[in-house]
Amino acid sequence: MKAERKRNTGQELFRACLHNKAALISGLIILLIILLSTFAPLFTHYDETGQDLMNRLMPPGNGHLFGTDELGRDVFTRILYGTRVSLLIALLPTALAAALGTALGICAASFRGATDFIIMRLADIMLSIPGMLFAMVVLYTLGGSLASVVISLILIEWGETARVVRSVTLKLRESEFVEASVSAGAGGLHVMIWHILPNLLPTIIVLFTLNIPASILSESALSFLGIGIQPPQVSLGLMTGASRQYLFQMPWLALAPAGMIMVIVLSFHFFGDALRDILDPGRRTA
Amino acid sequence: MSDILLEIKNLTVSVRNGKSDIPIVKGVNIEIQRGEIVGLVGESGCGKSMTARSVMGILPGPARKSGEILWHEPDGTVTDLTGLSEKALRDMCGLRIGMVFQEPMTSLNPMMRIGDQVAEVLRIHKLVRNREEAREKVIRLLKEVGIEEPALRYRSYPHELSGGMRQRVMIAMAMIGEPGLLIADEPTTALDVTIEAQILRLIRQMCVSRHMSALVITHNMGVVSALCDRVYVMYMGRIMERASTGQLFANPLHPYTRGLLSSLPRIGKNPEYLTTIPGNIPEAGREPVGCEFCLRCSDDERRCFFERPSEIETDEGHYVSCFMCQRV
Amino acid sequence: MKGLLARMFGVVIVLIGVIALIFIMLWVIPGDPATVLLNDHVSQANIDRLTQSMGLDKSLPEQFFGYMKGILTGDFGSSYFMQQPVLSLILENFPYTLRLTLLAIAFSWTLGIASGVISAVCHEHFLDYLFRGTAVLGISVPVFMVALFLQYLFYYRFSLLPLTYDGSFVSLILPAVALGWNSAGSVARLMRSELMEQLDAPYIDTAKAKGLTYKKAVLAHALRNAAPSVITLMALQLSGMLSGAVITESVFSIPGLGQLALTAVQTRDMPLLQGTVIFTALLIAVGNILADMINTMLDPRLRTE
Repeated sequence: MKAERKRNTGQELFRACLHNKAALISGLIILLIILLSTFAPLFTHYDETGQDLMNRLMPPGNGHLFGTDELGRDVFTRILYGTRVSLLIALLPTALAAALGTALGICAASFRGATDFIIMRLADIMLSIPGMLFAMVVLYTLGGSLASVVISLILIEWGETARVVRSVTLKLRESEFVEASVSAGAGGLHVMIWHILPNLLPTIIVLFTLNIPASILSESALSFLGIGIQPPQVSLGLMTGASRQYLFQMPWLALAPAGMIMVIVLSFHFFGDALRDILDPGRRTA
Repeated sequence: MSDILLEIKNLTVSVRNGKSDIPIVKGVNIEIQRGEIVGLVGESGCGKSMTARSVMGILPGPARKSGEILWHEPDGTVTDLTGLSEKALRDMCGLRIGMVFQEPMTSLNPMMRIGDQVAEVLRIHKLVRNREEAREKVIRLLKEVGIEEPALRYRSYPHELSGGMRQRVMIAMAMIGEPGLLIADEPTTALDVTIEAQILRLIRQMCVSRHMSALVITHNMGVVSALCDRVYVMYMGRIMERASTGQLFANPLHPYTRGLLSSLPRIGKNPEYLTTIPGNIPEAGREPVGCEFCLRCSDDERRCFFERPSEIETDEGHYVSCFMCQRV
Repeated sequence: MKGLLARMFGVVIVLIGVIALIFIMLWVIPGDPATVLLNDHVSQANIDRLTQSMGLDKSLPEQFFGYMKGILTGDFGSSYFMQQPVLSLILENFPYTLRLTLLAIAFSWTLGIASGVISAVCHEHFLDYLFRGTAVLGISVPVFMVALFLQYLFYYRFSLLPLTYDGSFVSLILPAVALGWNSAGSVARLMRSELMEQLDAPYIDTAKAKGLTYKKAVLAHALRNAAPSVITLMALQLSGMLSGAVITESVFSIPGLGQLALTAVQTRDMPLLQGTVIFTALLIAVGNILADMINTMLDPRLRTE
């Protein structure tokens, strides 16, 4: 019965998204991006790492939608493959950070005392180091790779989630419906799973949607600087960084992948905004 | 010579909701004489606050008003406040008309010293030459409205004062421009009952000592009997009955007024339970075609549903809009 | 005042935590730093000597307390590659970052606050949509894209401004705009929503009932009440600014802290990276305390608590 209710709210959310114009349009664009990058081989007959030194630095046209880069690789193909990385970065570290932050936030709020103190101080510590510089420390230690970028993003992002989840949980624990449930004899775990967690969900989703654009931008910046994802792996930030030297002669080389980052971030941003409106219609979003 | 100060003529206020306009105030006429305290009574949502706000030109964003609000100067000149520019209307506010709001906490700016907030009126209307003079004036008035150690309190922030004190500050703020009319919008609703009596006494005192008029908006018949000379009873944006306070309490005619009065607890009567008016205010936009009150009225007849009664004078200065009273 | 002291104490604890965390994270690197530093042809004796002189043969706690003691006396260790004390390198580079960040902050606050206020006051009008759209672009565009775009436009197309930093003020304009663009978007969005909330507050009606026009009510009352949350956001953004500075400094070749950290990562210069990251954490702590102090001055409700 409870499981059914949960599915219904999921369906309701889906239906609300269909009715919200911003959510619908940005959701469709995200879907399109996902399809394009997942089925990239269907849309291009080039290989993302296949070099063609005879055709280096070609302008757009001649079968190359965005031309070719300094090693003769098709830029359009590489953007499609780079998008895969951006999407992975958009969802994987963000979801893991949300899970970690939620778990630690709930722990801090439930156990209080020393556990609370240690978790919250750790969160404070993470929040007082600029993300970029902390990521550099992680990348220094682990070396530049997709995995290191994912790990550094998780470490950067869990703190804020933990802090917010903790304060919301504390507020919920004092709320009347939880007190009613406790006085009716419900155990701590029962209250946590059936009363507190469902009410935390909107908060967690909001934080999650806020972190997606931040993750994509951080990854692209680290790769742009050459310390994030390493070649031959493809990343939009890496492509932009490598094409910097041709900025004036062939601006599309740098601006096309950067533009793709922008499109991805914008659509996730609008989708997140719309989702927040749906989840909390009372709040006015800018 | 008539001694009218403010005349609200055929005032209509409506709020735009999607594609349709929902009328909140429907052709209201109110007259306030010089030195008179007039009450405007009704349930919450009946449009009494909107009426008061129309006078000050501080209706919320989507609301539109039409009609006339005539201000009579002592020398006989008449200004229509609805025709004034925003700038000219602001020059009237604070100087000719002062206003006290319901929530003394949120109606004061939390980040400013209360003395400075009161003195701001003097500064806006250039009533004083320098800060010292303003300060002196404010402190004198703070003392007059019953704030102890006014020089010290001048430097307090709103959150450091009790609700009653804050409302005294609001009153001082409304009075410092020495206006001819004080509009008090539910001045005591947010206060304790003991404080309520003090504040009402203060308003009455200020009006008498300065020969100032007041328009008191309230839902509380107790406030009316304590404060007002004359009363307008409003229901769903229309005036149902108007009379002097004495007449109204002695001989309430409209069923709604009778309902309001009988739901007032009285000492000595000690009833088993308080009488209430049955039913609720109908949803906006789903009002009856006839008399607004017909759905909740205990002695309605057929035509009440289809026709709207016009106002008739049953006694000198006692007017009522009800078919049932016309028969008498 | 007491609350402020308590907060400062908390900040010191967090800073010690930052130092410990960074220290441990860099300490767990596989491979002895001394081997990284010297090449393969060096004898084991030489490696041992270097290890000893760097104090790397001691236990972790010993090393950590040694490092802490050094920091308290202003000694952040020496850079492996530049053969200079880390602190002097940081202090040499810091003014560039400071100049860049201050200019970027000035740009983003001016643009953000102005457009946010206009957006809120002209609610739902053409200008509101224009500024809101721009603000969304501001927070969604990667910093390096703005930087490259500005270079392309203002250096290559219009030849108005220098390509990279050359020490002059003019050459700092593009980097500051690139860095500030991002945060201008968030300042504008917060300013708008915060101000709109304040404009609905009852004290605005009071101000109008006193005789203030709408414009003056906004200026005299609403702005001041909207200020604390905007200032808090600004302090939070300092962290993002320093992150962005890494990219901006790299694109425009500004010899600031970001460049220093990047060089440290690229040349595997552990003490330099450690020192730079700790120094930026310190900057953020100072920024937060400053914001707290300003808010306490602005908001009387915080003062009496």
